[in-house]
Amino acid sequence: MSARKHRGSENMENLCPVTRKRSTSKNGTAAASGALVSATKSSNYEHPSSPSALTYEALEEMGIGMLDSEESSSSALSAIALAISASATSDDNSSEMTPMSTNVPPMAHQMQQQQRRSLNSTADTTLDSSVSGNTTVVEDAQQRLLRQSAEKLQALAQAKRTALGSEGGSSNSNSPAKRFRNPLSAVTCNNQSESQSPLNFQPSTSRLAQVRQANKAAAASSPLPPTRRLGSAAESFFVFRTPSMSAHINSGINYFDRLSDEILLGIFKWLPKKTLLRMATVSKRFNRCSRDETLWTRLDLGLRTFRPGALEQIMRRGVQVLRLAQTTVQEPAFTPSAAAFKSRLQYLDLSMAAISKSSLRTLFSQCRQLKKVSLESTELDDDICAEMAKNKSLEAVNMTMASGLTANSVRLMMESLTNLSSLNISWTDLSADAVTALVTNISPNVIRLNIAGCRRVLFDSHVATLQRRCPQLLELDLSDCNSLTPEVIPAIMKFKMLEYLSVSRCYLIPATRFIELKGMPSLTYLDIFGMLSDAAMEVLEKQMPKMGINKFIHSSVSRPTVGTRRTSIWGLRTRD
Amino acid sequence: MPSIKLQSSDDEIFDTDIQIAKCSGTIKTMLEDCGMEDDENAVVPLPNVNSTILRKVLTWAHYHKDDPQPTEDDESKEKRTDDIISWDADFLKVDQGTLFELILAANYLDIKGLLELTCKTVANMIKGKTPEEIRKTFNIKKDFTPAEEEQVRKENEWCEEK
Repeated sequence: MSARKHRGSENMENLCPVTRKRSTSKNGTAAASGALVSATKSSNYEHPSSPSALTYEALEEMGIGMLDSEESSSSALSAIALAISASATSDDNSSEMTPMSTNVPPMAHQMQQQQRRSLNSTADTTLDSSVSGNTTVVEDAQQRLLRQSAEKLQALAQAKRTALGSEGGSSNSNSPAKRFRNPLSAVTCNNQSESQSPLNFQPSTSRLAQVRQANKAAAASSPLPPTRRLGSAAESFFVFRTPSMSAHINSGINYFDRLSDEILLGIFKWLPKKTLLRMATVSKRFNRCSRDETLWTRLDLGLRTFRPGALEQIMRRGVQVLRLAQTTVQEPAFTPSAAAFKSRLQYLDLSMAAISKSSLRTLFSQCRQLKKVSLESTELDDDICAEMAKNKSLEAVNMTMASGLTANSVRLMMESLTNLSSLNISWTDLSADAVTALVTNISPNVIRLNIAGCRRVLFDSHVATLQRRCPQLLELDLSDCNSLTPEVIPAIMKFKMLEYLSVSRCYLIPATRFIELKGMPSLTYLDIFGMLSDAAMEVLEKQMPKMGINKFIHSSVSRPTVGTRRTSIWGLRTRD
Repeated sequence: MPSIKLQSSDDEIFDTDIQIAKCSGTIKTMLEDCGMEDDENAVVPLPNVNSTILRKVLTWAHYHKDDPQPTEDDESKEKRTDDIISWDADFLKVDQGTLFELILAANYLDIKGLLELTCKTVANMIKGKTPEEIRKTFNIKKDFTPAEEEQVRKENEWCEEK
């Protein structure tokens, strides 16, 4: 990186002044080819703004545009520097370029070869135009292009294409033979082997031509593209991706037209969602294909702020696993026609999302196939709960800290959601009626229940009812249900399958009573935070050596994400 | 090692190791269904693949002949495009036309690994580009009316830019 940067600037500093000085001092000797010098100079003066003429297009043509990294920009800089210095020295004798190639850091060595190639070709195309400028009329399209302001860059791009010899590119390069035979080609040879007589172009030129033609022949017979041979040299240089990127420039063919939608989807499926959205605005076909449901099965948009209408678009993509945790949904989230839409959503995480009740109602009215949903800390009402209750296949519901739950909606949900196996309804400010509705109607299939935080509304009798309703509970969180008394212990002990119990901060139960729980064969973990002195804890641990006491501060019941894992909800990936 | 003859669209014959040829689901099925496996002189015509592309495909297949069969289970796999091995990356340093022809050939010949690789490569060419850059790179014509474009843009701008 820094070596390249350094190298670029080194060229600027070392080459330009030197060559400029020499070209002026050597005016006399160069006068022999005075026409050449003046032609070159005029061509230089014609384009004094070459550096500023480095348009984006020109860079992209060189294959630079595709690389966003800092690396590419510095490579681009050095390429520009080289292009400039190449043109600056083109009127000079080839031998004088030798110093630049010596004593370069080894890091830059491979790259340098590449650059030399391009530099060389750049130089010779420039010279081409200058030599023929006064005498012969320029025939082909490339020469005409050279007259334009981006002359040197065009040439450089062309040269790279030639140098790398991409298969398609070879067909559109103009008059390669001419380039090969150009005297300035000798620059490369002289740089590479300094034993060559500096002023004797001819042998080196023909040798280079031979080498190139040999390369070309090898390329033609080899099953692999010639780029492969260049691979090692190109690896550390920015032209790395040039062959695949540059060949299209003159072809003008949209190769996507040859692919079926199915194959197009095969490409699209490797794109990040953000890129997919961008692809939609490229063309009608891309727009259609980018919406394909298969591309939108999983979607994680946590923490985002949605524009009005965005949620409707998201739903219409056919998402099945959707994470919207901590999102902010701007109104209106849906158009009036959205309510009729039926989504395929199965897993929905709306934890801590800022969404209006009306939008939430519309959202749930579209959903009939939900399996797991998290509404942690959201605002609910009876209508929302009624729509949610229509998702008969719901297995897990997390409503912890949600507001707006009434006894009616709790009853309705408990009656409808018969497939429920996991429910977190803690800290929802339930009324005593709601708690009664819950424990009397809850699906017997529930095996994990968190009903913590029912401070003054959950009584011993509720636990007894619950035990009769759901005898096979595995996990029960009754923490902060302060109204529970020691009388609840016998009811709890009837849960024959219970593995986890939390009765943290149920202050009416003396800590010593929990020793009785060791009579529950299945119970493995007991959380009784906030009730034990260190001494009492010691006693309890002695009494129940196999019990894990106070191991879990946070409940995981129905929670979509636990701990720091945020790329999946309920164990299902939300990202591709 | 038994070999078979593959015939490209331009009538070139490729004498190919049968195990390598069989990485193509299409050829494999053809051989098995037509009972050509034991016939030394059998020629499998591949009218959709020219010799240049077929040569490349076979080069790839030869290099990857010992790869484990790609699993069907697409869903559980993480979708990453930065796991292309350097040999494959070098192999695909080709012009766009060749790359797309390889996609078509991999699709026609039913070579999952190569199809996945080539599709990933195109995806990598798309990534990080603006729509205009994508159009330019792939010579795609913008066929939206201004009104349509505005509509599509709206439908695809979900989040506030950060």
